[in-house]
Formats: sequence, structure tokens, C-alpha cells
Amino acid sequence: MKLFKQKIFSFKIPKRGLYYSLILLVVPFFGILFLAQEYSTDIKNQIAQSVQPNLNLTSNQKKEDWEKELDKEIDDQDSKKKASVDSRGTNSPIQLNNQLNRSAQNLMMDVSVAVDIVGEYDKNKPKTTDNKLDIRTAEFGFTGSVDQWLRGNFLAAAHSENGTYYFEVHEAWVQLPFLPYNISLKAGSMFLDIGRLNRIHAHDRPFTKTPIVHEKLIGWESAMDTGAEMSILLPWSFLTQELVIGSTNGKKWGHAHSEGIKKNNPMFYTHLKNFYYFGNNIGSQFGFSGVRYETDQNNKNERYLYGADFTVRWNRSNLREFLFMTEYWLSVEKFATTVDYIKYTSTSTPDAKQWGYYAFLDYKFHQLWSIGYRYDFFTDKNSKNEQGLGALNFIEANSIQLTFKTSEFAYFRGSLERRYIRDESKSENTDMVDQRIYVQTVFILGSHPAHAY
Amino acid sequence: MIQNNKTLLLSWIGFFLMILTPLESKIFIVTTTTNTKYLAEQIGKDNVEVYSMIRGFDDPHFVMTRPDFLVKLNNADILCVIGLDLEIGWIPVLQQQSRNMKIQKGQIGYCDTSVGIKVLGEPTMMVDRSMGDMHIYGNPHYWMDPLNTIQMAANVLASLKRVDPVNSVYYEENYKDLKMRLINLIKEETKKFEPFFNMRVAVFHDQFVYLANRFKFSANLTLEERPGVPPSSRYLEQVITNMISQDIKVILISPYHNISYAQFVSSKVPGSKVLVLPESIGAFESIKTYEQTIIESLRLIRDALEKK
Repeated sequence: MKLFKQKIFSFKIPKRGLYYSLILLVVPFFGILFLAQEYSTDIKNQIAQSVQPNLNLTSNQKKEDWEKELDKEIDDQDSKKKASVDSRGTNSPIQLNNQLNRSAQNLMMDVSVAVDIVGEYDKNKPKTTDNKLDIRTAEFGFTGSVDQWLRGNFLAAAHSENGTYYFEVHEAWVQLPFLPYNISLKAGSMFLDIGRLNRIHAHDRPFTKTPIVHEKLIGWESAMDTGAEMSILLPWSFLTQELVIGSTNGKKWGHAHSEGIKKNNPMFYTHLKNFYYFGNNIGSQFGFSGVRYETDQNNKNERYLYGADFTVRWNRSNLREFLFMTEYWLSVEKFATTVDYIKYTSTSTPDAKQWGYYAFLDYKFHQLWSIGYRYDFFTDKNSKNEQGLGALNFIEANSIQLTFKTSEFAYFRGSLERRYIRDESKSENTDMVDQRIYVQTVFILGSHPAHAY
Repeated sequence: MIQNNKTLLLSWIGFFLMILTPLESKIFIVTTTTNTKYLAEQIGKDNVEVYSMIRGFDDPHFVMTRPDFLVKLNNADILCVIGLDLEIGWIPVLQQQSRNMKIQKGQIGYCDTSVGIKVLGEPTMMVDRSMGDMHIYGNPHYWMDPLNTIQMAANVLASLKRVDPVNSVYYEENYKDLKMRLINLIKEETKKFEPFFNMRVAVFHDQFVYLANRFKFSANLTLEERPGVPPSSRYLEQVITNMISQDIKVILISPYHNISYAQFVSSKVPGSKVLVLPESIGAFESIKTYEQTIIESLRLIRDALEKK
């Protein structure tokens, strides 16, 4: 080892060799540095050129060249125009830049999924019941033109009912939208065109919880059935009217699987919608609805629903929007006369009446934020006390809400509701106050069709 | 005598009905924007009656589907849309609700003015909604380039010739006049803009790219991080840094956008200015023609760039 060290340290590098070595090392080193710098300058120049703002000019182009360029573009446009004479613009006889991708065209319908997640807390309810966060509906939708005459729509939704998801067809209809005399005809399963809210799916509504009157008389979401619906548009110059007349199987009333009675007595309904435009982006809709159906198959009881709805909207771009909507509903149930064939007497029961309304205000104060307030009222006129006299009863609710709409396709909403229930038909606990909190988030995937006014 | 009176009365009613009923009804054109309305009026002149669904200062992306639109569309002989999905949120539903077969896609009364346009801003990648309100067919604000407006006019002309072939020659003549005026407009305005070629401006929404491309300035720096989505403060800080480092002193915005973001950025960039440009006819009270829209927009930009 010692000998090795001696040999190493006794080794002498000749001076000339040292110089050569230095030259061999230094020249390539600085050469590489120089080349790298040149390369980096090139890249910098390339980047600078790539971010040059002008789309048409090259660095050497003279300013006068734009005239020649313009003439060339005009000639090019003229030649394209000549080639497309008499064309309807649906296809092009010449090569255009903006022709659609074939794979995009193949779908030829709008496909969407809308998921509505709702959480609710009611301090009066046991913790194991409705106080939960749940997927209220998950809806799958397909809509588009069937052929030159028909439009089709298929919407199916999964509902959570007590923890179990039930899948059902919400809407499956075919429509002839362009019949003579401004008539359109729809057949299949559908949300009935009555009132303002019934046609709007839960995730599209401007509030989380269904108004009390709607829930009591129609159902928590919407009345739907299978049948046919005709609508005629009456485009007067001062007022636009649309008259809807429908008839369905009357197979069931109510939305959930536990609601309604399976039956098959025809149901008839009508809705006269009136649209009036005030100017400066203020439009209104007011309508009157009537429904007649039989509550079950075994007796001849008839239920009539009479409704009035009013909506007014104003907007300024997507920055500000004001919405006011209200609906009034009256339900009259006529009971069949009971005949006693032994005594030869007939007994008729007085009509059962229930009515209620809601009024809702919403103001969008920012592109993403809006604030709303709703008042609900509902009463049953047939409630009796222990003495058999009419008992005062009503449900009244005040709700406020804040909505954060991240885009057209998603939002978050929080609501507070104070519900006051008075029922003098009870001997005790005639007054009750309920405080409820709702949180909701909705998101839509795919192409969700635009909504009517 | 009574019989004679009845005959006389009926004759008078018939006479009044005859003179009150126009012998030749005008072609009724409904357009989505005021610019297309102007083009249709220039080509159709006395033969047409044109109605624009939105005003010059309204946002064509977001329009409330007003009930009176149904009446107009129901009576329309021609519907002219900007296309490229600009009106996707409101036109398809109105079209169907109008019950008017003539103005449905592919029918003779349907006029998509984007056909044949040299489209800019086409996505170069697979887009999704995380990127904001992306227009998958390209930037639809193409009317800010007068050369594209000539193509729009050609599309309006084609629809008028389809619906009213008897007056084709008349419409063709009017189109030629309009085309010449627009070519002269481009030449005159480009000449005036020569000293400002290659200059840079910032924009709130990417809607002046066609104007910039025609008149050879850059309008690529957007205050919106994603189209249609309000910008975050972090992104605006980046914009401010970019504007200062690149000496950009002008921010362009249309009347229907939220000006507060642009004003905030401008307050942080010394010497900068926010310009509200009339994107469409009627955006300002003084803007009555398409030519004025372009002339006024360019004048505002030139004045701001001169003072830089």
C-alpha cells in the first residue's frame, strides 16, 4: 500500500501534456456553453415569434401587403359563395373548415343525467326518519327528433324511498309538434301540463322543498300519467295564449310507490296559459288549470282541482334576475250519494274542500348567487272538532334560501323553514312550530335540454 | 229596397276589406341579433319586415325566452341565427314552441349566418365543462370582422332567394351594394389602423378576436380565466402582472358584461383604460348601422392606444 502511494505521488505529469489536457477540456466546455447559449437564443426567438399577436402578418411582411391579402380573401369567399348557390346551408358542396365531426353527429339526441341530493333536518322528527342526506332523484334523460314529424323524450328516474331506490319511467312520450293550426299532440307517459310547477322536475325547481299545497293536493314531485295531450298556440298580437287539453288513464295519483291507488278511471285536465310581455325584459305568464279525476275504482267519488298560476320574470344578461311565482289550488271532492234500499232514503255527503297557495320571490344579485323567500299556506275546510263543528286548521310556512349556482349545470342551495301548524280539531297540542333546514346540491351531466318560459 | 240596402252594405264592406288588405305582404324575418337585422334590412329593403329578438346591449348567450318571441316566430318566414351554438340555450326551445315548420333547421326559412364563415377559436383539444362555457364549434362572435359580415349577408341573401325567388335579382343587387360598402369599410379602417398593427390589448371575454384578426392587433389576453365564469382574484393578479410586463394599457369589454373586474384590473395597471365597445347595433344610442359599430369600436381603440 505504501509502495502504491509512493508510486502515485512520485508520478510526474509532463508540462506539455498538462497544457494539451487543459486545451482538450476547456475548448469543448466553452464550445458546449456557446452552442447552448445559441440554442437558447433560438428557442427564445421562436417563443417570441409564436406569441406575436398578429395572426396574419409575418415578421417581414410589409404593411401594404394586407390589401393583397384582403383581395385574396374576398376572391376566396366569392368562389365559395358560387359553389353553394341554392344550398340550404345544411351541407356544403365545398370543403369548409367548420364541418362537424362525424362521431359528434352520430349521437343525434341529447343525453343527460341529473342528480338531486337533498339533506334535511327537522328537530321534531326522530333521528332515524327524514333527517338524512339522500339522493332524492337520479334522472336519466334522452331527447331528440325521431324523424321529420316526431320528437321523442324518455326520462327515467331512481327515487329513494326509505332507503330503497325505485326506478321508474317519468316521461316517455312522442310528440307531433307541427300539426296544422298551431296544434301539437303528445302521447305517452308524461308530467301533466297543469299549473306552473307540475311540468318542472324537482331538480330544476327554484326551491328545494315542494310547496305544501302542491305536496298535499298533487304530490311531492309532480302528477304524472299515461295518455294524450293536445295543445294549441293562439298567437294574438297583444297576448299569446296556449290551451292544453289532456286525457289520461287516471291509473294513479301521487308520485311515490306508496302513494295513490292503482285504478283505471280516466282523468281529464285543461290548462289555459297566457303570456304577456311588458317590455325591457319583463315577461309574465298567468294560467288557469282544471283537473277532474276519480279517487278510486270502488266508488263514484269525483275530485276536482282548480288552479291559478302567475309568474313574472325580469333579467339583465346573466348578471341580475328577478323571479316571482305563485300558485293557488283548490280541491273539491264530491262524494257519491249513498242509497239505503231498505228505507228508500239517500244520503249525500257535503263536498270536501281543501285549498292553499304559495308565493315565491327570488333575486339573483350576482352571476353565481341568488337569494329567495317563500310563503306557504294550506287549509282543510272539512276538519271538525269533537263537537262536530268546523275546526280552524292551517299550515303556514316561511322559508328563506341562498343559492350558489356554479354554472348552468350545478348549484348548491341552503334553506331554512319555519312551519307553523294549527289544528283545532285536536283536543291538545293544537299549535306546533317546526324549524327545518334543507341543503341541496344538483348536478347535470350531458346535454340537458333548455326549458320553456 | 231592403235587399238593395243589404247588397250596398256588403259591397262597401268588400271594398273596405279590399283596400285595407295589402296586395303583397312583406317577408317577415326574425333575427336573433341587431346586426343580422341590419343586414336583412339592407338586402330586403322595402320587401321585408325585420324583427330582432334581442337589443344591441343584450347578451346573446343568455336570453330569457320571452313569451312574445313565440308570436314573432310563429309568423316568421325566415329565422336568422348567428349559430356556432351562440344561442343554444334559448333558440331551439323557442323554435319548437313556435309551431312554425318553415323556420326549423334545414327548412327554407332557416338561415344560419355562420355557414361558410372562416371560424377562429376552434378547440384544439377535447373540451369539457371544466374549461367553462366553451364553444365547441369555435368562437361565435364572428360578426366583428366585416369580411365575415359579407358572408353573413350572403347567407341572408340565399334565404331570401329561397323564400321569395321572384325578387332574387332585387335582393342580389342590394347585396352587391352592401358588399361594396363593407369592402370599402375594411380598406378605409385598416388604413387608419396601420400605425397600431401588432399592438396588444386585453379583453374581458374572448369576443374581439375577429376584430383583432381583421385589423391586425392582438386581443388574446382575457380577464376571464374560463369563458363565462367570473375570474378568481389569483388569476386577475396574473393578468395584472402580464399587462404591466407587456405594457398593455387597454381592456376591451362589451356593455353586457360585468365591468367591475375590468375596472379592478385597470386600477392596478398604471395608465390603463377600460373601453366599452359597441359589439352590436344599438349597443349605444348613437350606433345605428353596422358600419358605425366597426368605425366607433376602432376609433375608441385607436384613441386609447394613441394616449398610451
